[in-house]
Amino acid sequence: MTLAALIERSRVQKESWRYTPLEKLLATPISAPDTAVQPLVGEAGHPVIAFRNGRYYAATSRLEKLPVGMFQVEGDNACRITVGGRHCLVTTPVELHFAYDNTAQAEPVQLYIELGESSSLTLIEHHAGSATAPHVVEMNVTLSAQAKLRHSKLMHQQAVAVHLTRTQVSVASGAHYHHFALLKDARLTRHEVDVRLQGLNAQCSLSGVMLLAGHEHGDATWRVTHEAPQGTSNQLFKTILTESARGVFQGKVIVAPDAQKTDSQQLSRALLLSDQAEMNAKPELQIDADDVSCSHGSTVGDLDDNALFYLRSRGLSDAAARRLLLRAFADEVVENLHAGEGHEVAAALLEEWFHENV
Amino acid sequence: MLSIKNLHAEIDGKPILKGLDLEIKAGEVHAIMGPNGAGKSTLSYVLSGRDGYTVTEGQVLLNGQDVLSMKPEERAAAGVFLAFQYPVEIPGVTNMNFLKTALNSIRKARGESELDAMQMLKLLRAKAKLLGMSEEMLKRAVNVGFSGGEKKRNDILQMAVLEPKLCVLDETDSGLDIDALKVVAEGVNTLRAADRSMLVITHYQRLLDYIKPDYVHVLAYGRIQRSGGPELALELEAKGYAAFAPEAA
Repeated sequence: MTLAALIERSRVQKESWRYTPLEKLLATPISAPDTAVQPLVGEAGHPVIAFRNGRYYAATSRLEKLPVGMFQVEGDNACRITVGGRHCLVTTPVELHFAYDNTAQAEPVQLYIELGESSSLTLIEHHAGSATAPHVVEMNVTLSAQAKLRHSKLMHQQAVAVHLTRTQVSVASGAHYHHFALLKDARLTRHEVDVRLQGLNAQCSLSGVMLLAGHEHGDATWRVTHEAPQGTSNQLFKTILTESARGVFQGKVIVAPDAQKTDSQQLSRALLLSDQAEMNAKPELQIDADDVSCSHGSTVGDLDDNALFYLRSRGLSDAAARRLLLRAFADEVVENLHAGEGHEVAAALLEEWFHENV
Repeated sequence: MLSIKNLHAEIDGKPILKGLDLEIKAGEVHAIMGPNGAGKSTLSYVLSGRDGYTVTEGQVLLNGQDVLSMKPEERAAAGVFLAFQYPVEIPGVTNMNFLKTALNSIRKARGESELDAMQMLKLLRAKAKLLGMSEEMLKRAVNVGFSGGEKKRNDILQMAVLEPKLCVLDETDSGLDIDALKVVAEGVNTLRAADRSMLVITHYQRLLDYIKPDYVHVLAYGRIQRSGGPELALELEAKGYAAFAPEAA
């Protein structure tokens, strides 16, 4: 998906882009930052598949620990990760590094991820860069019966970046897609996840934390379609906004007529730390089956004054008290990450952001 | 230790405290009793620095330091501690982490070295043991799912860890049954010390059966109407607060 194609899509699907007018937002002129961005370093022992400005980059990739044939480069900007065969369990998490600088035109990346029956994989995406050109990443994920994918995505420093991603997932019978995203530090983010639960007992859990400051605009648009009976889906999304940031969360759940006994939950919570910040939360349920359990909730608020005073009366500074409460707010989501899935990195990124912005 | 002179305070322009005077020496326990609306909670919040309370006149000195010009956290570092009438629940923050952050913030403000994880654990365990509390309580989120008694004991644990100079206990007995009240009072009594003063604010005499004050004051209509020894509390219990209206005083 090229940027032009994406812009075209935003023109056609007006409703889905109502709060994120892509063309208008892209038109704001920006200059590259003068600060250098920390290079991405993979955790010791993790295989790394690296991309630089949207192209596969062998120099910083570490493929030697990957099972033979698991990873293929297909053309300039497309790659395929296949966990083949039955019961193929890749026990070491695989890292995907997306780095951007201004040395070359950023190109869109297309990734295909296929997990065979009863196989499992943990993927950790890291994004960093100082490039002003939009970063476009599209992923197509296919999970066969009983397969399990744990997929996390962490955004590092990239204050001027435009980050546009879409992940489409199809989940077969008994398979489980688990996704966590830490969205931050981009002037424009659009994080789309579209999951189709196609087999009996298919499951997905989507969770995310979005941190927005300055004039940043962040948008998470998630859609889960229950197409088969007894599916389970969970969405938990938390946003913290300061200064003049704008946030969008659109969470849609569709339950098809055949998808009886669906169990679906969705919760979005946002904290506005300034009067200028704005949050648009749009939960949507479209239920065409009659024997289902679906819930959704959405709150937008500020930090609790009672809690702040309680902490300050025990010696914490106003900023330290705020950071402690914000960390607790975000931790409820971050705890969904297991050790080795980027939990420590996510915690460090949160602390760094709180120290800069609170 | 604590010297309050001619304290006037208001909320949203409405005067609540109207010239309150109080002197507490080191090691003394003073009780303030008063009817609803007398300004008891206002006094505790003005002493601890809560937003929304405006001091229009008067002075509060703690060991010669001007308390009213300090932020809440500076007061904590100077040794002011408020045990809340309703301790606040903080989901997602463990007692352990909270106490660690609080104590190290105060030590830092006092120019003392921060404690490392091991030293902290040792200290917290010792304090919990002193108050007969389980270590399990340290691992739970601050006051979340705690009973009324557990919340008050948790505040007393914070007091034990932070070792304040002045403890203000705001309606510590509210919401407690008699057994819980005894346990909390025992905790408070354990923390009585020659260099620590306590101000016990209460509506009922009952609490003072367990925390024995040296002095009792009657607060009504924004001022101390009468002061005396522990016997004053018994007189109050017998006569009610009506006898202490300003014109009757």
